[in-house]
Amino acid sequence: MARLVVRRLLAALPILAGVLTLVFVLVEAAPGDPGAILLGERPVPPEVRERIVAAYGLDRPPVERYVRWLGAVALRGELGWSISRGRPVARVLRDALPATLLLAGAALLVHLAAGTALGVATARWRGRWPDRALGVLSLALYSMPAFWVGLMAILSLSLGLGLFPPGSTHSVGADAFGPLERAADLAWHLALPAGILGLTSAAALGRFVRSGVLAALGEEFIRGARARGAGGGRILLGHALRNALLPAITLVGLSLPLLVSGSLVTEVVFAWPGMGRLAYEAILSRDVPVVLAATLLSSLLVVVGNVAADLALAAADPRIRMGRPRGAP
Amino acid sequence: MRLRGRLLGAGFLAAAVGTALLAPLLGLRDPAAQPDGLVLRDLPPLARVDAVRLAGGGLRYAHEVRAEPDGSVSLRRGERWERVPPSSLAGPVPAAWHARPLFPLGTDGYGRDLLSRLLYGARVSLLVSLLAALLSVTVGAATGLAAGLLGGVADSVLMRLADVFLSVPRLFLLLLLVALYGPSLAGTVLVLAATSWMAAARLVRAEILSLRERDFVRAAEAAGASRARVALLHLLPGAAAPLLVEGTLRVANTLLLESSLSFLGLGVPPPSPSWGNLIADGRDALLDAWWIATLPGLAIAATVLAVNAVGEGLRDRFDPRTADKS
Repeated sequence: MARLVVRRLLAALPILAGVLTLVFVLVEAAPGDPGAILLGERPVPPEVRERIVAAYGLDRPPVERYVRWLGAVALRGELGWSISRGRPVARVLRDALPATLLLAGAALLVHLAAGTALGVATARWRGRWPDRALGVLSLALYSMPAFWVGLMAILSLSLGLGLFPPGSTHSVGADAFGPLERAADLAWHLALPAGILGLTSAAALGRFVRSGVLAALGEEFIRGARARGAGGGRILLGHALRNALLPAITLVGLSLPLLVSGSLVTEVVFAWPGMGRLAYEAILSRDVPVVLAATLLSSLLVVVGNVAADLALAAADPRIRMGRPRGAP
Repeated sequence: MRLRGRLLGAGFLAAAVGTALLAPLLGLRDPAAQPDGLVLRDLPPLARVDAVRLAGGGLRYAHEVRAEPDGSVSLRRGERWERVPPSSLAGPVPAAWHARPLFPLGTDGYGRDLLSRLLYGARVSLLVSLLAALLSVTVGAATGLAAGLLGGVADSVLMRLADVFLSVPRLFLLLLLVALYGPSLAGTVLVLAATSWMAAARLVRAEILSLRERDFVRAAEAAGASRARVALLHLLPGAAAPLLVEGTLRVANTLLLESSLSFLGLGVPPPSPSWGNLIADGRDALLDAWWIATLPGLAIAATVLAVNAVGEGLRDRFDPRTADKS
């Protein structure tokens, strides 16, 4: 298992290097000189501009800059200076990261729970009305833009019924709360954005689990379990679902980028102070270094999440853990 | 049930594309015109307002109109009353000068007609998604074809490139591209395609690899067909069905992404009324005028649902291997 962990981590490195290279090439290919991108449209005297350009090494040939930038970002974690906030980008991002991790993590949990429940329920009542109703409902949610569902939820549940706060991570005066109250307050603020992000993406997982459960239900081992006297619930959850969940882990790894992308607009809609909203505000103030760093960090999240999904799959499936290809006897 | 859903989807889509194409012929109000910011502001769906037909052919909107004994008309706009003399009216009897124009879907905060904005928005949103999906499938097919045919280093490089693109969350990548290159209509199409070609590339490559060693391809090669001829006439058609399905589902996906991008103000630049822009307009007036953000969202959801239904129908018809068997 340890060897597998190392191997997967090593395999992720070229991807990360590729992301860094891609971002560098995109910035290089952008119209306008790098100094202009760095400084935006601020009125800066030419001699100051020249000094800044020299200080950042922007007058160097691209290859040299690429190597230096790679070293700075990958080895020392230096991401540059946020002009709009007057602070190092790394620090700005570090402040925003926990909120994004919390939102995306909670959304992932909702996604998993809802997707699995949806898949099992529609498989259990296949062809009957719960299957159809849930199928239509999940497909409808899947077809709606998550940010719009967020707006509608704010309109009806927050502003209309007052059930949830319309945005932000905490109530006014939350600093005075005790730790438990604080956690409850946070969960209350988290419920809408995480719930919507998780639910709008659950349909794909639900379908996958459904067909997995249905396929497993037709297998010999299910007949065996039934012959040994196992009950319907035990067969459905203990045998069929267990087999259907294995391949679903891979799908979860694939839907991570979707969740991280979705968290961006969701953060904007719910005024959630995470990385996505940070990147969005940075764009509005032409603060390219922040957008760039947020893009890199979001990719890192996805790559790490994919490695984690692979390892989880290996931990759950002895065939992979032992290094034998899937499907081999 | 399924077939009915798909026919419904196809029908809706045909109607949507038809109305979008014919929008200029439907006698709609100008989607960008702001004829009266005072009276027509934030009208709810199905609203009718009072108006006076003027002799020149135009309309003067009002909160209240009153016929005066001398043949002139008084109209109230906000707190103020103003008087229109008989000579400026389109006719003497109320039937001639009085109008009650209908705003089927209401208006926005600038008094722009939402029905025409929604239909003209369909032109923008559908055009962008169709073009982006077409471009994405074309680029993806070319990449996959190159990777599958060239093999070796080129194959590894191209496929690792696809892995890299798949590892960057698309919205962040789109944001970065817009930050660097600036928002524009053509740019939106380009960046949407540039961030979505990977699925088609993988699909075509897999198809090429499985077809390349088949007898009919060998036979074509033995008969002296050039590499390009084999690739385009013998290999690519094998991938046509899955590509068609991928392209269709890509339209739905792109429609959603375009709306996100436009909602953030980074997609199709206003005043083009793309559906995402319409929702962005409505966000600020959510409490006062819920319909402005609600209606375009419903349009997006219905269209995405329809496109997905059609895509799945196509998959079951042309690509039964991957079809959902349940």
